[in-house]
Amino acid sequence: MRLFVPNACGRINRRQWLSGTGMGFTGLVLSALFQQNAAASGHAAWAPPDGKPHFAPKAKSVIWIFLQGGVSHLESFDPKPELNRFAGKTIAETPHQGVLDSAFVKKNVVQFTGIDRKLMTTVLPLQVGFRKHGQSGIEVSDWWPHLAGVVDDLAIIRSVWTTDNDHAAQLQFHTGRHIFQGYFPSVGSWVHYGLGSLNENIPKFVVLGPPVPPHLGGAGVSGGNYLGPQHAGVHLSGDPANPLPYATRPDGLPAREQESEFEFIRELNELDAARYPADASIRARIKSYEMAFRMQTAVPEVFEFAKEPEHIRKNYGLDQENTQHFGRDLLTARRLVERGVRFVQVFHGYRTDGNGWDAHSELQKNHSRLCGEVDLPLAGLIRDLKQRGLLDETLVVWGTEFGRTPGVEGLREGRDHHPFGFSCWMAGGGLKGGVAHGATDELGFHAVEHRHYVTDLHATVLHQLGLNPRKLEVPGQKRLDIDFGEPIREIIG
Amino acid sequence: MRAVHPLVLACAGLIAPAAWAQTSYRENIRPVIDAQCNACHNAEVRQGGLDLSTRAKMLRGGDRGPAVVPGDPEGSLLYAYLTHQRQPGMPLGGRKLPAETIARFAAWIRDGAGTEDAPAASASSHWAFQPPRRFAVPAVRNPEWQAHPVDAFLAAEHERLGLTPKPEADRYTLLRRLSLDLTGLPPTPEEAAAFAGDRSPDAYEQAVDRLLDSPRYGERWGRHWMDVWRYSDWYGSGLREVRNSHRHIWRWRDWIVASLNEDKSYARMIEEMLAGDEIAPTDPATLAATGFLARNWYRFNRNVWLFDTVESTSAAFLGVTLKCARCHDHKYDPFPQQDYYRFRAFFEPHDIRIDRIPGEPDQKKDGLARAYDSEPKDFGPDPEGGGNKVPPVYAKTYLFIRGDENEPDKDQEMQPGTPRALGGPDVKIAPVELPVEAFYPDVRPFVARDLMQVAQAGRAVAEEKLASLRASLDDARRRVSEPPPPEPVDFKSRIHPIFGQRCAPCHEGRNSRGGLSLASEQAILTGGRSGPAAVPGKSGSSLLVQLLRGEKQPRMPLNGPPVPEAEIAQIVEWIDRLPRKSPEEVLRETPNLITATEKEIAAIQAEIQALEARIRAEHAKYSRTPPADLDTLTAEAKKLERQANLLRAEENLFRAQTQMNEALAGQDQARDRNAAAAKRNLEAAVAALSKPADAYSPLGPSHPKISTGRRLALARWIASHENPLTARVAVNHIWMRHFGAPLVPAVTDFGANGKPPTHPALLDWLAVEFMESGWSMKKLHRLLVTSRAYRMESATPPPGDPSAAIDAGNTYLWRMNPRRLEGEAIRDSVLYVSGALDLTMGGPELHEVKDQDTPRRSVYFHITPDAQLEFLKVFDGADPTACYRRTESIAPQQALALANSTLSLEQARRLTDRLGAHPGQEFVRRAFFAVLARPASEVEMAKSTAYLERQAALARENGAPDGDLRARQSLVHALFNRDEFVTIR
Repeated sequence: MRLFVPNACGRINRRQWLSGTGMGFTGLVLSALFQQNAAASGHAAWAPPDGKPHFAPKAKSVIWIFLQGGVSHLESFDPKPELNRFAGKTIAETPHQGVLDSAFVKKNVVQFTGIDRKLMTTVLPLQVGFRKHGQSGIEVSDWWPHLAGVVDDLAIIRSVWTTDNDHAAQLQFHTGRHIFQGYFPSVGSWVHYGLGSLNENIPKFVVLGPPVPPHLGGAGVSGGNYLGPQHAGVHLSGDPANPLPYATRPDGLPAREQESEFEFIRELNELDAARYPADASIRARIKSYEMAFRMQTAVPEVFEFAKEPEHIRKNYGLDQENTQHFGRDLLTARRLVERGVRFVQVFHGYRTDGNGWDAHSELQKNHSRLCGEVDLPLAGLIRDLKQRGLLDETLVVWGTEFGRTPGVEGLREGRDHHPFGFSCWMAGGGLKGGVAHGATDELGFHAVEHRHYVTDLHATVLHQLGLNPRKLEVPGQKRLDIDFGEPIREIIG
Repeated sequence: MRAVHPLVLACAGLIAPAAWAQTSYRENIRPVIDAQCNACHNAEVRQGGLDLSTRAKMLRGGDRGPAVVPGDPEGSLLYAYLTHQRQPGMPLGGRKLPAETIARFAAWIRDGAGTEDAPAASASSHWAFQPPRRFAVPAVRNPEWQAHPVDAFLAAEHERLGLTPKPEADRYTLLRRLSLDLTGLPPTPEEAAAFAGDRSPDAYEQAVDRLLDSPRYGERWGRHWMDVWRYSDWYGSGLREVRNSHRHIWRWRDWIVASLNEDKSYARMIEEMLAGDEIAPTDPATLAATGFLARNWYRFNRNVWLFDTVESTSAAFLGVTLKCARCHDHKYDPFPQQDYYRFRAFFEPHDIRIDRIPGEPDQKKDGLARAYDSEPKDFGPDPEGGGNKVPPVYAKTYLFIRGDENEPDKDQEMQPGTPRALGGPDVKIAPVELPVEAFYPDVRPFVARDLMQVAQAGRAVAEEKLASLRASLDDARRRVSEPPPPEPVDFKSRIHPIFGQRCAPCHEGRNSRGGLSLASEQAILTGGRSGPAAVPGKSGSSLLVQLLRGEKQPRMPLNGPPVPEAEIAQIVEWIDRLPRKSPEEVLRETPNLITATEKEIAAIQAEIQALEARIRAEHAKYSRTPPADLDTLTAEAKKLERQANLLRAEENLFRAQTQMNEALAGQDQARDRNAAAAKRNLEAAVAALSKPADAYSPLGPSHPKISTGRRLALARWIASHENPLTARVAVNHIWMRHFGAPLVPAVTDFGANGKPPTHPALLDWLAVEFMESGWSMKKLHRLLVTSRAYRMESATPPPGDPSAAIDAGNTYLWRMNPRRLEGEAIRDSVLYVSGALDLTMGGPELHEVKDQDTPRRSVYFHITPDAQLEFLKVFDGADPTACYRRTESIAPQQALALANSTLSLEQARRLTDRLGAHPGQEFVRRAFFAVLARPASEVEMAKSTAYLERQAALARENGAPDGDLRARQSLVHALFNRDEFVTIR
C-alpha cells in the first residue's frame, strides 16, 4: 500500500469548512505543545487560537493586491476638477489654501528622513480624463477602462491616510506601524494565526510578485514577527519549475524512489515515536513529512496554467506582453484561493523598474504604462471570481502605500508622495459593490470624510473572515487601538 | 437604592470562597482592564477624561468622578458601568463582561481595591530587584543527588512534589547531547566509540573539558550570544547605502567568538561592549566589542537609534522591559518615566565611526566600526558620501512627553543615572582622557603608509591613462584611412532578449547586483561598481563577456546554466560593432586630454610631496617630545600643500578652458560656469601662495580628546556584583540553552509582569557562584553539564507515569527536555559528518546565497532582518531585531529542506563515498555511527538492510547504473532526515 497518495487538490469542501475544521497542520510550534502541557497541569489561562472563526464569516480567503511606489489617487479613483480649474496656480492662490494650514499637515506625518519634506504647492492639472461607469455611475479615470467595467463590484474608499511620507509606508500599510516603531505582525500573518487551513498541501499564506526591498520593510510586509515565523507568508517565485524553496524533487530522483525513502524515514521515526510515546514532537514531525511529500506535487500544480482554457488565459492578459506577468500572478492567486489558501498577497511595481508607480516626473507616461499592465488582469480577476461563484467568499483588496500630491513636483509633470489622503478599493467577500465611500477635500489633499487609517482595511478584512482581532491578542504583546482599526461598516453588505 | 446587584448575588453562590480570596489586582483585574477598557481609557486617549491605566488613576477618575471607591463597589462608577446599571454600559460596543468577571471586580473593590500600582512600595519586595543570595544547598534524601549543588536544589523539589528523577542517559546519547550543546557539532564515530568504551571514572569530565577547549565552543555559544545581543550585519538600500547597523560589524562577531573561547569574564565582556573605547582606546581588538553599540546605528532617526540602544542594553544584560517607560511610568515595575531617559543619557554623547585598518585605505571595503563620544552636532554629511545625512548627536537628554520626540520637556534635562529600584553600587562618572591615537586615529604610522600608497597608486593610474591616450591617438591616425565600421547590432531586438531570460532577475531594476543593470545599452556601457561592462569595439576586454564565459569568477548567471556560446557570440558581435568615436574626433580631442593628464600627473606628484611633508609635520607635532624643527616642518607642509593645490587648480582650469573652447561660446552656460569656477580656484591658489597659509590639512578627522566616561560608568554598574539582575539574567540564558527551558520563564522580563523563577534558590546560588568564579562562563557550563540532572534521560514516559501525572510540563526537571536543533547546528552537522565542513574561523560575513560553495560554519554567514541562509530561515532562524529565545517549530518546509536541498543530497553522497562500498550490515553500522554517533539497534539493522535491498532493486528498475550505491546514498540521506538527527535527546 502506498502511504503518500499525492492529492493535487486537497481542498476541503465548503460544507466541511462551514462546519468548522479546526486547526490544520501547516506547522506547529513546540511552545504550543508545551503550552498545552502547561494548560493541562493548570498553569496557563491563555491558549493559542483554535483556527475557527469567532463569528460567522462572510469570506474565507483574501487576495491582497499591492501596487508599489504610490498610485495617484487623483488619476485613478478620486477625480478633482478643481485641479484643472487652478492648474498652475499655487494652492495659496486658490480658495482651498486652508489645506496647507490643516492640523493634519503636521500631525499626520512622521518625517522619514528627519527633515521636513516639501509640500508641493503649485497645482498640477489632472493628467487624464474621467468618466462615469456602471449603474453606480462612479467616476473612474480613462487609464482604467477594464476595471471601470466592473466598478459596480467595487467598494472604493477615497479617504485612506497613513503617516509615513516615504516608501517604507509599504511596511506600514501591512503592519499598521511606521517603520520607526519597528516590525509587527503583518495583516496576512494575523489571518494565518487566526484561521485554520482549508488545504493541508499548500501553505495558508502565499506571497507573489516582486519583493519589497529591505529598507522599505522587506519581508516584514508579510512577516509574522512576534506571532512567529511559521505565520509569515511563503513567497512563491514566478518560476513554475521551482516555486518554493526545496519543494522540488531533486533532478534525477524518480518519484517512486523518493516515496520509498520517505516511507523508510517514517519507519525510522516510528521507532522513536514508539520509544517516546508521549513526545508529541515526533508525531508532528512524521506528519510534517507526509505533508511535505504532498506539497511537492500540490505546489507546482498551482502553476500549471496550461490546464486553463484559452478564454481564461486571455481574461488575465496572458496573451499580451505588457499584461502577462501581473496576469499570471492574479491567475495564480485565483488558483490558490480556489484550493483553499487563506491569504494571497500580490505585489506589482518593482519587477522591471526599481521605481514602480513612484511618478515623481512624467506621471502620465509612468501611470498610463503601468495601468496598461494591471488594468485588464484586475478586471479579469473580478470577472473570473464572479463567474466561478468565488467572489462571494473571496475578498479582493487593492492598495498602495500612499497617493500623490495635488501639486506638481519638479519640471516634468510629476507628483510627490502623499500620505494625507488617498484611495484603495475592495471587492467581494460580502462587501457592497458600486460604492464610493469617504472623501478628500476639493484638491484631493486631506482625507476629510470618513477618514480611515490603513488598519481600518485590516479590520474590515478580519471582520469579513469572522475574526475578532482583540481575541487574537498574544499575552505580553500589547496592541493599541490604532493597531486594531475599525471595520468600515458602510461598505459591508 | 439596591444594596447588591442581582447578578452578583446570582454568581456569588457559584463561586467558592477560595476564589474570592484569590481575586488579586494583577491576576484578575488588570488584565481585564487592559484587554477590555484600555483602548479608550489609556493615558493618551482618556475618553470621558478617564484613564484606567493605573490604579491611582482609577481612584482619581475622570469627568464624572472617581471610577473606584475602595470598599464600596456600589458607589464605584466602574462597577456601575460594567454591570450596565449606568448607561452606556461598558465595554462600549462590546459584549457585557461575564458575570464571574464582574463579581471579581466587586470583590476586589470591596476588599479595598488593593494596591500593586504603588511601585515604590513593591520595589523593595520584588524578588529580582534584591541582590542574589547564596542559599544553603538543601539536604536531600537521595544520596546520589546530594553531591552536586545543582542536583540538590532540584532534588529538594522532586522530593517535595513526589517526583522520581530519570536515570542517566546511555553513553552515546550523553556524548551526543554534550557535543551538540557545547560545540554545535555531533561526536565523530571514533569519539562516540571511545567514550562508550571508556569506563574510567572521569571519562565524562574529560569529554567536557575537551569540548570546552575546542574552538568550536566559541562558535556555538557565540551564535547564542549573538541572538541575545541582536547581532545583525548592516542592511539598507541595495548595496549602496547603510541604513541599519554598520559595515564590518563582523569584527564584533569575531570578538564574541574569541572572547568566549578565551573564557573572558562576562563582566569584562559587558564593559568592553558598552565602553571598550574608554577602557582600551587604542586596542582594535577591544574596540571591536563596541559593535554592540554600532549595531543599533540607524541612519534616519537618532531617537530610534537610541531607543534600540536602551532597549537592547536593558533587555540583554538586565532582563527588564525598561522600554515600556519611554512614554509613561512603567505599568508593572518601579521605573518612573524619568528612569528611561536617565538611562538613555548614558548613551547620549556616543556616536559610531569607522576607523582605518592597516592596508585598506577604503573604509567601505574594510574598517573598524566602533563607538566614541562625540561633540554635539547637527545632521551631518555622510562620511561615505551620497545625498542623505547622518543623524545628529544632541547636547542634552530631555524627557519626551508621552514618548513623543516632538515634545521634549525642556524643563527636565536628564542626567545619566540608573533605575533607583535596581540598587547596585553608586554610579561614578569620570571623564576619560584619550591618547592621540584614539582622538586622531589617522596619525598612526600605518595610516601614513596607506595614504602614501593610495597617492602613488593614483599616480600610476594617471600615467596609465596618459599612455592609453597616446595609444588612442596613434590608433586614430591609423584608422583615418580604414573603411567605415559595420552597422551596429540592434540591442533591443537581438541582445536584450538573451539577458531577459537568464540575467534579468539579478541585473534589472532597483537592486541590481553589483550595481550592474543589463536593461539597456547605456546601462551596460555605464556599468556597475566594477566599471563599464562593455567597451565599444573591444569585446575581449569587456567585463560582461568575461563574466559570461567564466573568464572572471563568479561566472554569470550565478544560479543557472552558462549562456550558450552561440548567444555569447551575438553579444560579442554587438559589442564589437558598437559605435566608437570617429578617428577625426579623437585626433581633435586627444592632444588637449594629453596635456590635461600631464598637468594632472604634475599635480599628483606635488600632492605626494605635500603629503610626505604633512605626515612629517603631524607626526612631529604629536610625538611625545615635539622636535626643535617643528616650525620648519610645519612651514614646509604648508608651502608644499599650497604648491600642490596650485598645480591641481591649473589642471582644472586647463580642463575647463578646453571644455569651454569646445562648446560654442555662449551656447553652453554650464561650461562657462565651470571654466569661470576653475579660474577662480586658480586665482585663489595663486593668491594663497603669495601669503602665509594658516594651516595645512590634517591627515584625517579629529574627535574629542575626552570621552565622557558615561558608558564606562554604566558598564561597571551593570557588571557589578551588587547588581541584582546581571548574573541572574546570564545564568538563566545559559541554563535555558543546556536544559531546554529557562529557570525564569520570560528571559527578558524579570520584572513584576514576568514570571517568578521555578527554582529561586537555585537561580540565586548559581548567580552568586557565577560571579564569585570571576564571571567565568566555562566554569558555569562545566558546573551545569556535570550535574546528574543534565545527564538524565529525556524519555517522555508513557501515560500513567506518576511523575508525569504530577508535573507533565517537566517544570521541575525530573527528566531531560529534548530539544530541536537550531538551523545552524543542523546545517553544520550535515557538513561535519560528511567531512566537508571547513573549520576556518572568522572574517567578513559570507554571502548568504553562496552556502552551497562555502562549507563554512553557519555563524559566519551574512544575517540581517531581511536576509539569511534560506536553510536557517526554514528552521526558525534568528530574528536579529529581537531573539532572546528561538522558536522551535516543526513545519513541512523543514522536511522539504532536509529532503530536497542540495546540501543534504550532496553531503549524503559524499558521506556514502567516505563510508565505502561495504555490504549491507557493515554499511548500516558505519552509517549509523557516522550520522547518529551510535550503533544501529537490531531492529534498525533489520529494517535498514531490508531497505538497502528494496531501494537498490527500485533504483535498478529505474535504470540506475549502480543501484546499490544509490540505495546506500538514500540510506544516509534518510538518516539526515530522521527526527533523531535534528534533536538533542
